[in-house]
Amino acid sequence: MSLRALLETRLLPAILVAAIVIILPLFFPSAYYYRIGALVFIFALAVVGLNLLMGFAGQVSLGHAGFVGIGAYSVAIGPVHFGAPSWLCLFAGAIFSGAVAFAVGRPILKLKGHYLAVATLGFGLLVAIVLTNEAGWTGGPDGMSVPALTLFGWRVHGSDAWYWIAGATFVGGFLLALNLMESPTGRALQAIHDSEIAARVLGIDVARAKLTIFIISAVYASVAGSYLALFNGLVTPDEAGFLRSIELVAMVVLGGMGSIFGSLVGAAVLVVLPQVLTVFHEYEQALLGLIVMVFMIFLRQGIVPSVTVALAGWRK
Amino acid sequence: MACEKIFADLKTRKLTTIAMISGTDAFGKSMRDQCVAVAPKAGITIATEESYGPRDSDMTPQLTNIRNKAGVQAVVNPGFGQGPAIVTRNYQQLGIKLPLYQSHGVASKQFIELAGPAAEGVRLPAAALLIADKLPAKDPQKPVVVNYTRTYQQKSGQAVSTFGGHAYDGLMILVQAMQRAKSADKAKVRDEIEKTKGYIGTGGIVNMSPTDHMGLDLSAFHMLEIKGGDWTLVPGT
Amino acid sequence: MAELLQFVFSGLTVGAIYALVALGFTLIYNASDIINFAQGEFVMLGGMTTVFMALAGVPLPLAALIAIIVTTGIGLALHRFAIEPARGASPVALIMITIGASVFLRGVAQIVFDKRFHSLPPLFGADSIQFGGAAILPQSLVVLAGATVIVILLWLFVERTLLGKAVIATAANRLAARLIGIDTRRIVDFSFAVSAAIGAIAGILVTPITLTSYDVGTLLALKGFAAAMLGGIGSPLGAVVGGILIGMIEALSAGYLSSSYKDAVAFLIILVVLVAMPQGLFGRVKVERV
Repeated sequence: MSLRALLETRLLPAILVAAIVIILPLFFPSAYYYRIGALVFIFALAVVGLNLLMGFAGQVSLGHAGFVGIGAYSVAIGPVHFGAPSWLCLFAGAIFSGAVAFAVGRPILKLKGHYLAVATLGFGLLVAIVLTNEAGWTGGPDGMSVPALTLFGWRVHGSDAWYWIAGATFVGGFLLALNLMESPTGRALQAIHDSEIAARVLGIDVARAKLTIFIISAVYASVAGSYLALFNGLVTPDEAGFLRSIELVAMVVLGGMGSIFGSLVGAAVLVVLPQVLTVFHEYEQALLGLIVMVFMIFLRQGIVPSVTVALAGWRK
Repeated sequence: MACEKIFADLKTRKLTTIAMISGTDAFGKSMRDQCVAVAPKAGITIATEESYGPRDSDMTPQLTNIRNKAGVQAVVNPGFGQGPAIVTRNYQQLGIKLPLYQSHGVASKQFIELAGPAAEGVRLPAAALLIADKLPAKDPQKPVVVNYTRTYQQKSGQAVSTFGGHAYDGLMILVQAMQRAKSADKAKVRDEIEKTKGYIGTGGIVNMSPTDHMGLDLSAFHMLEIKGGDWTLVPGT
Repeated sequence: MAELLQFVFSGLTVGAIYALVALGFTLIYNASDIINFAQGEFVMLGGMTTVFMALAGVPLPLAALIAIIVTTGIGLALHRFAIEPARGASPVALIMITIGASVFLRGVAQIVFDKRFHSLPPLFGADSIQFGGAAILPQSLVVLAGATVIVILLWLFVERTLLGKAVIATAANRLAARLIGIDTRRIVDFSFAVSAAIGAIAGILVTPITLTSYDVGTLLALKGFAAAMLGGIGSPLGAVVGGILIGMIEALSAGYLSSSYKDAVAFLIILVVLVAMPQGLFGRVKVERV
C-alpha cells in the first residue's frame, strides 16, 4: 500500500495511537512516567467502552466503575480464594461483567435520560456496597492485595512492562471500537442516537442494539479494571465507587463524546492533571474543579472535536 | 489492643455481655474484627452487632435493635470521624443507660464538643497524652507528655490530640534510630528501629523487636472517662 | 410497636434532609433542564458558613442569614459565570460543569474553612421528645416543618404570583416563553438563587442533627438526586415524597434487615420502581412527538 493510501485509510487514528504508544517512552526520564503512561492507557481503555455507550449510543451511565470493580476484584478473588491463574480470572471477570451487564441492562435500558442515569448510579453503588461489606471475600474497606500476573512463567511487574501491555491492549481496543462503529451495529447505534423512533421505524431492534453496546462497554471496563488491579497489586472498593464513575464520565466528556481518540485525550488529561496539580497542595481540588469547568465552558464539545473543528476552520 | 483494654475494664466492672456498633470504614471494620477475635479469650460475649456507614446521619434504628436485645450489659462503638459522635448523641436521645465505650479513634477534644452532654460517662482507651496533667506524679510518661502538650499548645494554640502525638513519637523513634545507626542507610536504620528499647513517648513506652513493630503493650493505654466535658483517668488503669 | 415508630422517626428525620436537597434539584431542572450536582455543596455552604461566622463571634441568627445570602450569591454566580456562558451545550456537558463546580466549591471550602466536623446548637434544645415509646429530636420536627413550609411557599408562589407563572412557562417551553416576552435568563437566575437558598436553609436546619464538614455535599447530592428522580423529576411534591421514601427505606432496612446494606436496599428499590414506572412516581409521562 502506498503511503498516501495508508494515510487515508480509516485506520489512521489507530496507527497514530500506536505511534504515540511507541514514541512516548523516548521522552520518559524515569519509571514514574511509565507508570503514568500505563495508567492513562488503562483508563483510556475503560473510557473507550464508556464512550461507545455514551457518545455513540447516547446512553448515560453514572455507575460504570461498577464494571471496573468487578474486573478488578476478579483478578484478586480468583487467585487468592480459588488459586486460579490471573489471566484466566481476567477473562472470567470480563465474561462475568458481560453477564451482569446483560442481566442489569435488559430492564434498565428502557429508561431514558436522567432516569437511566439514576438507575446506573444505583447499580454502581450496589456493586461498591457489596464489595465493601462482603469482607470475607473481598477484604472489606481495606481491600485486598492482588497477586502479580504470570504469563508463560514470566512474572509481569514493573511500570515499563505494564506500559507496553496497557498500550498494546489500548491500541487493540481502539481498533475494535473503530471497526464497531463502521459495522451495522455501530450504524444502528448512531441512528438510535439521532432519533430512536425513526430507527425503530426503520426496523432496527433498538433494545438489542443498546444491550449489545452496554455489554461491550462493560467488558472494556472490566478488562481495564483487571489491568488496574494487577498493575497496582492492590484493589479497594473505591475502584467501583461513585467518584470513580464520575471520573470516567468526565474523561469521556472532556475528551469528546463520540470521539474514540478523544477517549485517550480525556483519560490523559484527568490522569496527568492531578499529578501536575499536587504542587499546589491544598489548592489541588479547587484547581481541578476550576479546570474542568473552564474546559467544559470553552471546549464544550470536548477537546478533540473542538480542536478538530477549529483546525478545519483554520485550514479554510 | 484497644479492644483488650476495653474488655479488661468491662471485666473489672463485672460486665461480660456486650453489643457492638461499628462504622463500615476501614478503621471501624478492622477494630471490630480485632474485638471479635480477642473476645473469647477475654471472657466477653458479643450478643449482637450493628453497623453504620461513616457518613450516616442517624443511627437510632441500629441502637433501637441493640436496646431491645436481651442481656446486653454494655455497648462498644469502634469508629472514626463523626459517626461515633452521632452514635453517642443518639444513645442519649434513646435514653439508653448502659455503659458506652468508644475507641481511641475519637481521642480528641472535638469528640466531646460534638457529642455534647451525651458524652458524659463515656469511656475510651487512650494514650497518656490526653490526660497529661492528671497523670500520677511517678508515671514515667508524665514529663514527656506534659512537655509535648505545653510545646504544642504554645505553637499551635490548639488542644493536643493523640494523632499528633503518634506522629511525634514516630519521628523521634526514627531520629534516634538514625543517630544510633550513624547513617541514613535504609537497612541499617531499620535494624536500629527494631532495637528501640525503653523509648518513652506520648503513646506509651516503646520496646520494639524484629517481630514486634509496634512495641507497645496494654500499659500504653489508659482508660479514660469523660466527666464534666473533660477527660478523667479511671483510677488503676 | 415502639421500635417501628422509632424507625419511622429516624426515616422521617433523614428523609426530610433528602427531601430538601431533592427540592433544590427539581427547581433548577424545572427552569432549565439542568441537573445541578453542586446542589449538595449549597447545603454544605449553608451549614459551614454559619458555623464559621458563629465561631468568629457573629450572633447565630445573623450568621445564618449571612450564610443564606452568601450561598444564594454563589448559586447566582454559578449560573452567570459557569452555566450561562455554556448555554447551548449538550446536557452532559452542562452536568459536567456542575460537577466541576461542586469539586471546585469543595476544594475552596477545605481551604477557607477546615477539614473537621462541626455542629450547630439545635433550635429547641437537645432533649428528645418521647412519643409512644420512641424518641424524636425537636430539630427533626423543625426540619420536617421547614420542608413543608418551603413546599407550600413554592406552591403558592407558582400559583399566585406572576413570576411564578413565568417560571412554569419557562419550564414548559423555553422558546415560547421568550416569545411572549419573559426574560428566561432572569428566570433561570432566579431558580438557581432560590435553589441555593433552599440548600443553605436545609444545611443550617440539619447541621444540629447530622454535623457538617467540607465534604458532606457529595453523598447528599447523590441521595437528593436519586430522591428527585424517584419522585419524578420536575415534580416538587415528588421530590419531597421521594426524599422521605428513601429515608424511610433506609431506616426500616437498617432496623429490620441489615444495617450494612441499608443503602443498597434503598437503591435496589429505586431501580425496581423506575423499571416499573419509568417516569418516577409523580413525573409527567414524556410524550415524544415526531
